[in-house]
Amino acid sequence: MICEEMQERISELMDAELDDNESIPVHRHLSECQTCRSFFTSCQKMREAVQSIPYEDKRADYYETKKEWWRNYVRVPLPAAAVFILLFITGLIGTSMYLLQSDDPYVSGEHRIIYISEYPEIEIHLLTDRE
Amino acid sequence: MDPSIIQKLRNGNEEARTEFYKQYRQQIYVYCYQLLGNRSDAEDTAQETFIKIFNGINSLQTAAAFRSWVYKIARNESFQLIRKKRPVALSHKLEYLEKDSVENLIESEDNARIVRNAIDTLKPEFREVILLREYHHLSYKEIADVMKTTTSAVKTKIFRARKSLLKKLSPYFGGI
Repeated sequence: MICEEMQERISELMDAELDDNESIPVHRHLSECQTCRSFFTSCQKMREAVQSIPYEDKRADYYETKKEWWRNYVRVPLPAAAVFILLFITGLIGTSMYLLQSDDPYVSGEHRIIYISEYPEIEIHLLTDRE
Repeated sequence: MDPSIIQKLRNGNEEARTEFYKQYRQQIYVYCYQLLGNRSDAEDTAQETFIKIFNGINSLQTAAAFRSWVYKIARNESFQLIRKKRPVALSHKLEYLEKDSVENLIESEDNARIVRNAIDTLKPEFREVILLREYHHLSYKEIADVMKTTTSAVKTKIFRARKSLLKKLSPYFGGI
């Protein structure tokens, strides 16, 4: 039972997750227990074996040939986006003001609507003369 | 990661992006490959991960959490693809296990292949913690951040994963 608990601590020791005070009893136990020493050695060998697995992809350098490939995918930086939005809003306000001052009576509102009592569904738009 | 590079990444600096890409390209690709099991998916997912990183760098709260944040994005992207391709991925996986089970490889001299197959036959959560710890050198805290769990749970999982892997590999690395 004590070895099972100690081996969990050995696992932490291997990963440098124990402070000095925590590691002292683990080192002491390792010096006294052959089973746990064997566990420690096996874990170390296993670590070396895992780290030696060749996962690297030789084709990973493929990206190197396409320098800064991400340019097409990455969003425009915030200042550029802010300038664009500002220009858009300015354009929108400008267009609205232009339309309000337009000579077109339908746009500037210089017309009136009359109705015929027998046909209330019909609207007649009458342009008013400018003074 | 140098905090000044992170700041430059936030500002959209192209040189910083290139520097970051060079530093992390292999790690991200390998991690995606370890989760997905094939090169083509790993390449696509690694690319997606970099795009997410560059676009989302402003959501990173502290520079100290940078590495776990990067791995978390790669993990999310990989799992998203696994979910999309679930039926195919599963059948591929079963076929792979039948063909390359640890027992069938006892005769083989290729130790790396033996270890790799032993890792592949671990429970997925064990496989992930072992690879994040032994291969990518993440701390318990970082692994906990990536896997959205506690450091205490990570500690236990790593220990159990080691025991399980040693059991599979005991003919090669000595008994416990």
